[in-house]
Amino acid sequence: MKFSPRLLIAILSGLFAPSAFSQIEISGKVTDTLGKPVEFINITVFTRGSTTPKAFDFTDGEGEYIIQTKLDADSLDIQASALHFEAIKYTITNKSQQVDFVLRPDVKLLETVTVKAKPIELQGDTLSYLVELFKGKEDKTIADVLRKLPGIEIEDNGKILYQGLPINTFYVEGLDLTDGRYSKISENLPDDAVSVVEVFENHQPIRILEDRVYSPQAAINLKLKKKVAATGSGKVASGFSPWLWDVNLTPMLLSTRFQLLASYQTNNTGNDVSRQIEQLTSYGQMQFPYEPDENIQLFDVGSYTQYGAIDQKRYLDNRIHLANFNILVPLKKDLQLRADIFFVDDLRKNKSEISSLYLLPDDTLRIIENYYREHSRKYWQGTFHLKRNTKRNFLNNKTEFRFNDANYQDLIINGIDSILQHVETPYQNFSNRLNTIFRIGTSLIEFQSLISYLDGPQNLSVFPNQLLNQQYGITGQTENLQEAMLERIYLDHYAGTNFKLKRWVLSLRLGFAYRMQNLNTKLGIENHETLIDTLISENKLKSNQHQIYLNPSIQYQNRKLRFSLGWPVSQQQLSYQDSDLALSNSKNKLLHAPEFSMNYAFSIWWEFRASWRFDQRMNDPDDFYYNYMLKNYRKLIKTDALIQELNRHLGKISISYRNTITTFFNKLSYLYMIRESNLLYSVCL
Amino acid sequence: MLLFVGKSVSLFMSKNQYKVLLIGREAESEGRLMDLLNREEIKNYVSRFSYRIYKNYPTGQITYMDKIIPTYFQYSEPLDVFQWQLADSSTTIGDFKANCAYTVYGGRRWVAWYTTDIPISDGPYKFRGLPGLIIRLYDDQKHYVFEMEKLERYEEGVPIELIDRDWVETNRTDFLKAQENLKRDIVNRAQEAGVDVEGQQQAARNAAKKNNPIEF
Repeated sequence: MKFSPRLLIAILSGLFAPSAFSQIEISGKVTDTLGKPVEFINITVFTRGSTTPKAFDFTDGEGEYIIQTKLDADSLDIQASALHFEAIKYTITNKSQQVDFVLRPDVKLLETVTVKAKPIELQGDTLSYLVELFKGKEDKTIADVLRKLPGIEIEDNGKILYQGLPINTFYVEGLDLTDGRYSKISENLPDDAVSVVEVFENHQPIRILEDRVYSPQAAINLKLKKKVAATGSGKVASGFSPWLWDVNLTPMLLSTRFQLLASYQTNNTGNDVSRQIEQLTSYGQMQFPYEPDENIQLFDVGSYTQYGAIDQKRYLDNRIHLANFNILVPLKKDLQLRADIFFVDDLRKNKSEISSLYLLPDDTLRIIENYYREHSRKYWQGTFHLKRNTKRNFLNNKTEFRFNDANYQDLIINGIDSILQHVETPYQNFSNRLNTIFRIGTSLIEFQSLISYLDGPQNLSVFPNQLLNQQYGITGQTENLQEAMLERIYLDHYAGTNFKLKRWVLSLRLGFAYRMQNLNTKLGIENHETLIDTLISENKLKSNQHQIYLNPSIQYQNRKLRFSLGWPVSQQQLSYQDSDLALSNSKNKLLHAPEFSMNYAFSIWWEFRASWRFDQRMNDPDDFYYNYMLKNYRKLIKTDALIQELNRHLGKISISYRNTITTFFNKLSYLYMIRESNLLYSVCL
Repeated sequence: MLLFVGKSVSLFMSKNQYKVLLIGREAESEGRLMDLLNREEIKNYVSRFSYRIYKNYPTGQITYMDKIIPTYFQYSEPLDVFQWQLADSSTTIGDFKANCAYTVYGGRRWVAWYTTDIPISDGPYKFRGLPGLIIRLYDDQKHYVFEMEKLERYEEGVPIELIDRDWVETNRTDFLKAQENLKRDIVNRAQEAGVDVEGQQQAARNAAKKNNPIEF
């Protein structure tokens, strides 16, 4: 019998037709031209002519693959592809079979392709946001828009954070008008005036340090719609019960060369607008290691009561006027002059109840007082900056005048008395700070200088006060009057540099400081019945302090171990002289303050730390007077003694175990401190 | 985020982190001012995504490395952890023809668009194993969306580097547990690390914001 081959095929296909589209298994081996099996080759199955993959596998270490699939088609395409080989495609019938591939090496060069243009442009370290896209109907100022930008947060005090860290500079058209007091722009500039908000990531504001000192902080730059923008905000609101007002007039003129901002704001609605002039950045503030506090407090007036998380607007009883003027002008090439002048007139009223508990050796004393306070403050400040910021050098000179006139009117009611306390704490202050960084060879030298003058005639009166009567044999209604006048000159200059060698960093700073101050005080009692004034005590104190300091330090760091050793030494000469009392004291001493610390992670969960510090100090001239001085209605102090010398050793070792999976954290630490003082003061209640 | 594809190993990491790494390295070679010393701490702030994902390192494994203050963890999963389901839909993304595939991973359903035009079986995050590069990936809630922005060829080779550190070997479950523990214990940890009260509050606020992890 003779069968036609064509018929046979027809019968066979007829027979197998129902199972033709059932599950099939394709397997095979992929080798290169040398016959070596190749791994990670992608084998993809398509229905014939389609580009949609239906099934796929990758070759294993032996170059083998297995694909199981169930497809509704007569024939299939099977393709082997990989980056380093030429792709091969076969057409096969839809049945279980073995398909082997021999691939020829081929290097495919992928082209650079940009797939997607972003709504946020990213150029180098700069992100640009189009304000239009983020603006909402209810937004008025640029701060409202900034708040919505991804990665940006604004804190209650107006401080802007980018990715959790405060920004270090706030620019408008590349100029820093406000030196970190930027809320007055961000909270007053209408969002309509701004076209683009730029975020400079990792921004180093000092250009000579660019590429040298890494900065984790970002800066913000506002680009305006117009080249020269005259803009600003104005608002006048008023209400009754009792009469309330809220006024804000803030015109601005902003351009790429010249900028000006003026502002007048006043309200009695509990809005503390003086926070708009708060310093919100720390860069460029030029701090000194031994600098005395410029906000002198000769009296002890206490601080404001804290109300926790309650919004200040809810409790602040105020009346504030704020006037502010800022200007920035370019002088010669690279040189910039900036002025910032502001005035605050603030009145606050406050009521509180204070309970104090004194635990004495043989008794316990509890005092409960009702405290009514009216705090008024008039504050002027003028700051003038001269700045050059180029790749070659950095110069920043800041001249500042400050006048502060703060008064406290207190009424204190305790169980027995009601006392009136009046405190006047005016001071005026002039200072000049200079910071310059330049290059010598490959290392940078930093030089910093401070010259400051301060004086403050301050007064305290307490009526009635019995604190001194017994001691001085006075009876009747008496008022205590304490006058105090402080005058101070402070100079400080230093130069510093750093070297780095592999894992070691060596830094050195050499400087000298000079402080001269006069403190004149007078304490008297005025008898309101007999009208006799009695002089109780007087100070005419001159203090002098010279200081030369050298701060060398060395640090080492590797993966497990980190240690640092610093040994600041300073030659100090301190003298006190009271001409009226014919008393004087002086001391000349070399003070050491060595410091050592180390950290050693000896295994993943365990860490060992040790540190030791020795500290030598002489007392601060602000806290020294031979004769009595009244600090507040119930505090009287004198420090007629030798010059206090404080020595302190502080040693600390600790070993800690921290397992973050089980959250079993444990730490054993030992702290050892020795304090030595040549003086002990006595306290009498 | 960046995906470095090598001959057999690939690395997925944050772009910011990579930049910091380059800056740090440059600084080290030049001998800079000591302010750079704190670079170690800084690194942790710059990007919210501090993880690194190595695929096929070691062979056949996906290695995930990340820091949970104060410990460095790593864990491995098999390369073929993703069970892909190919779909028939196709689209064009940029100049590439892309096909669609689904998988379920880490508590989310993922939609991947891959292109056979680029025969690299890789993609963002841990995702891989499709017959082409994944150029768009998102979960069905669209909480996490990865899109390819740019494909670049490096003329000079860029090494895919490992960080030599005391990594704590763990597994995915324990790692996620440790991450959860950190959130609950953030204030203590911040305090432990010598952060001031304000910083601790900030840390707690940041941790509270991270309430939508990519895997759970």
